Amino acid sequence: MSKITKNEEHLSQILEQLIETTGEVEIAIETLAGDQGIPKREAEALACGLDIFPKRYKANAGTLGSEGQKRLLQSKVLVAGLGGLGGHVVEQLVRCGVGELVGIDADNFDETNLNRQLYSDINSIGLSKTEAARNRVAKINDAVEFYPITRKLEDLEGNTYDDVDLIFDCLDTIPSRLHLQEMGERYSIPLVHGAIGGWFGQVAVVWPGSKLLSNIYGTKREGIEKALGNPPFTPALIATLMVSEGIKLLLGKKKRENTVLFADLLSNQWQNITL
Amino acid sequence: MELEMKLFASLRKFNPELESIEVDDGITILELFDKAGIPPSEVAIVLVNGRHATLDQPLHDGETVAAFPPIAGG
Repeated sequence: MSKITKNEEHLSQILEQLIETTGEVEIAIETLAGDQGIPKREAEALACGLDIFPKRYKANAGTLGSEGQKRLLQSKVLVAGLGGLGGHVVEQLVRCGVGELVGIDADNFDETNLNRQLYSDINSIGLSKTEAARNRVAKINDAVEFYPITRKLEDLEGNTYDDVDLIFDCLDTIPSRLHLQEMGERYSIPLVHGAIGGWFGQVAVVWPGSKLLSNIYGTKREGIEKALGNPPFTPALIATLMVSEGIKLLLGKKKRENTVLFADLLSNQWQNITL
Repeated sequence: MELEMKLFASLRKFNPELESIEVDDGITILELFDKAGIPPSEVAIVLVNGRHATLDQPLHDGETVAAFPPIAGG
């Protein structure tokens, strides 16, 4: 979690004065960030610290509270995989106001992505998924910092995980997911895991050291999606569940347990199991 | 002996009506899957009475066996 480096109390006082003189929270935030040379997300976090919500987070207020919104603005989250799950996850994290996002994907969009991957469209075919995500984030919330990494997960530098509070596993192969589990363990970062195939999906929080993904997959190295493919509605649902789990983790509202939630949209069955 | 069966997601198609099954005493999970027509290669997680189990585990009368496939798409 990033810390406001300059004196928080001092900056808060300046912000309060700016809000009083300008009469507009957004202008005061913009001015503070510019004058003091701090990122806009930090100026927004200061506003939340004063129990003042920037308008774009107003509808979050009742759910997150000002302390919660501040915490999200000061959080850094890594999203591994920007396809079916990752696109929806990024979209919701940005709108929640999570301050810093690292987005990792080595691929470009192609026609087979159009049925489900949120940032794919006719114009983005051939564009890297990281670039498309960056463009989208900038359109939604200019206070959120998005760091695109267009490389394979296995080729990343160790410092990619520096200051990361939470990892989203939106990958599409079992070996890469197990690699991510290892990174979470190495850097003591919890993982929100999501996976989809056909009408079916699963969500789990993988706590460092739990080896939950190893217990889920056992010796399997391929999933049912190879035969069933992925329709548009399953990734949107599972991504939503992942984000709500992730927000609870960031806000300290999630207790440690090794459970997996299975969703069967064909027979409308939900199953929560402990491993 | 009789076992309760809960097949989840894509595993249901192998035996859609299966809710309980009559088997020999001491049968293992692997033998049960063979009898019920469920390919073990399609199963990632097995629970017996809600507890994580391995395929060679012997079963007892009245136990509930739940099976889940591997899901890995993104």
